Amino acid sequence: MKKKFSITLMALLLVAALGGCAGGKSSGNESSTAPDATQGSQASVSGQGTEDPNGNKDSKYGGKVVVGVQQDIDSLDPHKATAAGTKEILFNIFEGLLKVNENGSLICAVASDYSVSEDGLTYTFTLRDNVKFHNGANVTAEDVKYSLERASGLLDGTVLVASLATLKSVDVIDEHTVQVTTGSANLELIYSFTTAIIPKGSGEAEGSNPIGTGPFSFVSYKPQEGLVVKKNPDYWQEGLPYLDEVNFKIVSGADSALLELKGHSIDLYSYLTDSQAAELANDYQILAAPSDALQAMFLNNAVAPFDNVKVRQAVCYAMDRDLANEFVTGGNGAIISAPMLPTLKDYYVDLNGTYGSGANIEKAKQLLAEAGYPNGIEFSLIVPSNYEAHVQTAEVLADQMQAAGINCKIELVEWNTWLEDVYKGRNYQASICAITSDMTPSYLMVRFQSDHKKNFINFSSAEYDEVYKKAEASMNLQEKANFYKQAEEIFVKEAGTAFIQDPPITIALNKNLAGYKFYPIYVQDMSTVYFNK
Amino acid sequence: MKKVGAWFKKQNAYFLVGLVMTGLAVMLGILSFFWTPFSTTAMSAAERFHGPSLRHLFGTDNFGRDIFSRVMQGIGTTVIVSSLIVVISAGAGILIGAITGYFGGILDEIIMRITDAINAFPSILLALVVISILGSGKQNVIFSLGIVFAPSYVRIVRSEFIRLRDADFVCRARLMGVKKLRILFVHILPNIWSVFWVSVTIGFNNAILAESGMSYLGIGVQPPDASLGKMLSDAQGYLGRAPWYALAPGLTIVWIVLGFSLLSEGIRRKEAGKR
Amino acid sequence: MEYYIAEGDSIRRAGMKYLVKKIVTLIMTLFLVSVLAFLAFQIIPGDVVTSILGTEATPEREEALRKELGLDKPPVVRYFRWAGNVLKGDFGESYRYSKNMNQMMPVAELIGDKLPVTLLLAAISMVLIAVIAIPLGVLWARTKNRFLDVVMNMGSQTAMAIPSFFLGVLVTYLFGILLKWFSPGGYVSYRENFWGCVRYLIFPAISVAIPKIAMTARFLRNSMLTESGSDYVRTAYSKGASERRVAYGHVLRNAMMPVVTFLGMIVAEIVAGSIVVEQVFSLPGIGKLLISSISTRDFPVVEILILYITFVVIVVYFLVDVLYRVIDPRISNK
Repeated sequence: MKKKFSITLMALLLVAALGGCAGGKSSGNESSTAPDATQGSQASVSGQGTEDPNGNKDSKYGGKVVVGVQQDIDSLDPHKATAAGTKEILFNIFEGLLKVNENGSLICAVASDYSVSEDGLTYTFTLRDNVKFHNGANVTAEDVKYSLERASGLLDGTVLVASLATLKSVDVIDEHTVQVTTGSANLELIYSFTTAIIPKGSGEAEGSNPIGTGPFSFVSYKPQEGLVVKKNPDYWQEGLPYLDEVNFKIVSGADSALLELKGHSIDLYSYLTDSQAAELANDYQILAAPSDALQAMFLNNAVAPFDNVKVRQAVCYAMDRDLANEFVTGGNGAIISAPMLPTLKDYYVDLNGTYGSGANIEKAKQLLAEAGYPNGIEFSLIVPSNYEAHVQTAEVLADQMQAAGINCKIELVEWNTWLEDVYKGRNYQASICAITSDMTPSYLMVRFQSDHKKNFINFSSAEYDEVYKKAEASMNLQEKANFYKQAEEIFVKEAGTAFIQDPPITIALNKNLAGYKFYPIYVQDMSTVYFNK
Repeated sequence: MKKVGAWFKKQNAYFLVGLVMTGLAVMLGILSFFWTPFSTTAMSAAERFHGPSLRHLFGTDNFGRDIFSRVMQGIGTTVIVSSLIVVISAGAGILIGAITGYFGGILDEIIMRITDAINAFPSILLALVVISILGSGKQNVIFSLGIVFAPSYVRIVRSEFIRLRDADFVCRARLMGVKKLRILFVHILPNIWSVFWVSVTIGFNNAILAESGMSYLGIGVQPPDASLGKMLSDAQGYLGRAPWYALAPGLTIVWIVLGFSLLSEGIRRKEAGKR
Repeated sequence: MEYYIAEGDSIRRAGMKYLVKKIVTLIMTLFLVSVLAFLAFQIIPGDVVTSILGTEATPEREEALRKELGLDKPPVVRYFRWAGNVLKGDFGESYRYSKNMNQMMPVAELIGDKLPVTLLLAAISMVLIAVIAIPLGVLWARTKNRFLDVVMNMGSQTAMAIPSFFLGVLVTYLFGILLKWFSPGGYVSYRENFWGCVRYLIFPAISVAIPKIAMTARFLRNSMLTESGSDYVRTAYSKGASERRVAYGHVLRNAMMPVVTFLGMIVAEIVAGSIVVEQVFSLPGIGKLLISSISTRDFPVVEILILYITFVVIVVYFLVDVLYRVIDPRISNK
């Protein structure tokens, strides 16, 4: 017997919007029955950020917008692209069976409905009628089968989207129905069906341009210059998009972005620092929301002095998170102490009381003395130089923690060096960086299991491993949440790492633009943006 | 005192102005090792982005740190780093240039090709290589820029040695059976000093510009240590809000480089006057 | 990175032998540079596979990509395979930049696309330098006004003392933000709007040109003063030629010769990529491409760019040298 599993799943795990599937349009109203975790964060969005896209239509349509982006495209293939900076752009061109909306909920996109078998092993998707690719062809079940098989490695053995690796088969039931079978049940797998649907064979066809079903279609890409998209007139969400053309322009850094904003060469730019935002306040709308990243001073649990839990705790006590927030992010960040985002409300337990958000110098000194370092510690703090916010945070904390006898020697490295030495080689003492999120709690927490490939801090706790495994295996949402919370408590008690904050994301938006929506994941949705005048 | 006065009278204006400019900068730099008006790292939330005033001569930066103190420290760093770069590159230049210029032959060919290659090689990549082998930090900036600049000294010294190797006094020394090393460094070397000193002052400037350029690109001196190039790059983001933050280190670099240029011009004119 | 003119470095043998020698030298230097660049990439940390795939990829996929890029082969094999392809005219494909869904950008196409920006910048800069520096140099050489001489001297010294990145920032701030003569970062591609592109490039060209103008004017002045002291000038005066005629007819013509070679070296320097200026003004030229390719460990692109830069520098120096010999036969007799 198959049960419509998706109702509970959506309501509890994913917070909202089964209704979105039926109506085909994203809207906050329909999620009102479920507690919406991200609603609180949306409140901090000032101004016209999230208006209903309906209404006075004629005047809203048309126009070209230049969006400044920080990173160049790493691949035009939606299954192969891994950089967050590429995904944020491709979000406008490609869509999956499902799609994330601005509340972090899943809505139906290429699919119009779906159901999951009771054992969690079979997913059945009904395709929406008349969804067209940018080349004019209708999306067929064969296209969906091809796309999912390609991404999951069923096609040629190379897994392109790691989270789809558990797929066993993708079967076409009829013209409008596709059934996916997975090898192991996992409540979070549903998020992976946001994987882009592309025309059958297009991934291998020589010289093909990116073709998807999204609100904008690909026009051109020039390395180091940018990617241009134009309006998809056949987009299935009626009335969208408003703009005729969007140019995602690559800017070489935060400093040149500021100059370009001042010269009005770009209409929209994310990731401003607090003081840059202050400088632009007269010319632009400044909007802010949580960036949903965990910024932390990651401590290498396997090397001295951080192999001693008391030293790690001392750092947690000594660190003045409020000061870093004040100096670097203008007090707009959310202080965190656990490896979980406050926006993932169902899984988050507030542990800021454990070490306090300010500095507790006495306690830190005492712990250091107990650990055998009465004269304090000195270590090298590696920071990737391309992230200005992390560099500034390092400077503030290095100065501030000296009072507790904690002396950091800051070392700036290139991003690729960071990846190799710190992330892969784990050859470091401490490093300030951030983990981004994909809206699933496991994404943040899976990495701290003792033998996990991504456990670059060498955190080692049998207790954590055990509880995490239970959380992962649990098919009961309440129970699952409780296990996650328990694991967070263990991690914080062991002071695996000294978390700092969920930094805010601050954007500058042309004063004539409206309809911009913040997402809890790293995307720039341009489909709802329109010109006021 | 009289002696000092007489010495001053003998110097030309360029030399004196250059001396005063560089002297002032170097003194401030040296002073910074012992004393600065404020701590160079202490931050103050209450004093962020204060404009220049009597309390903070050059204003304060985004962390409320005193820019004048940081510029002082930056000068100290820059002057020491640049001096050592010059010592390394000029030292290597004399040694290699003298030998290849005097002896010529296949060794000369090989070494000239290598210096050509280094010359043509993007200095940033070279710097990255050295820094990745040795780790980042002051000493490695010095080492890598020392390598980058050595070829220019090699060329100068080499061409001077080629010019002088068949000069009468060298031939005579050779006939008298003077040892080769002695000919190189006792007989010929003193004759190239005037050319050499001019290139050292120019080289000093190139070293200052390159060091601040590297720090500007983030691969030089590491924070929270102050470096003029790094300060300038940090300040670029606040141009509209706090222009003094960028102007202070920028103009300081111009000041020091200009000082050395005038000094070198002065030396050149003095030498020209002697001839 | 050429700061000095190798004055005494005269070549003794003439004709074909000279040419052959120069070409052999060029090839040897290019070979050495390519080996150096290859070694550099062996040494610097940062795995290109991680750089491309990020932190989330499965080990199998990393392995597959490593194989695809040929990185599983030993370095020596890789170098000679690469060198062989280059000799055949195949510059390979970028590791990093896509051409479309399933093809990477060929290096030749990528560089061909970026090179016009740098060349255009170089051309505009050269025009600025020639138009401003030459009159300035002549004026400076001819002035009897001590005050003007000092002003010129100080001005040129100051212009040469400004670091290029600071100059870029100053130009942006002054012309872009205060005067609003151009919008910083508002670069338009030469493919879309050629004159718009030229208009924008004027401002980076100013940043490139200012120190070079100072150097050239200074060089021209010194060269003219040296020429004025020479015998033929005195002869001209004694024949009763006017001062103007002497200055423009004889002195300038002869003094221009070393200046032309000096300008040639400046061309080499600018064509080789104005790294910092391109960075400050967000110009998609080859200097910027070099920096970003180094930081993304895009070996095929970096290697070819370095060879290109070496090639340009050496060839321009060579041409300058030849030009010098053609104009001034005295050199070969030295």
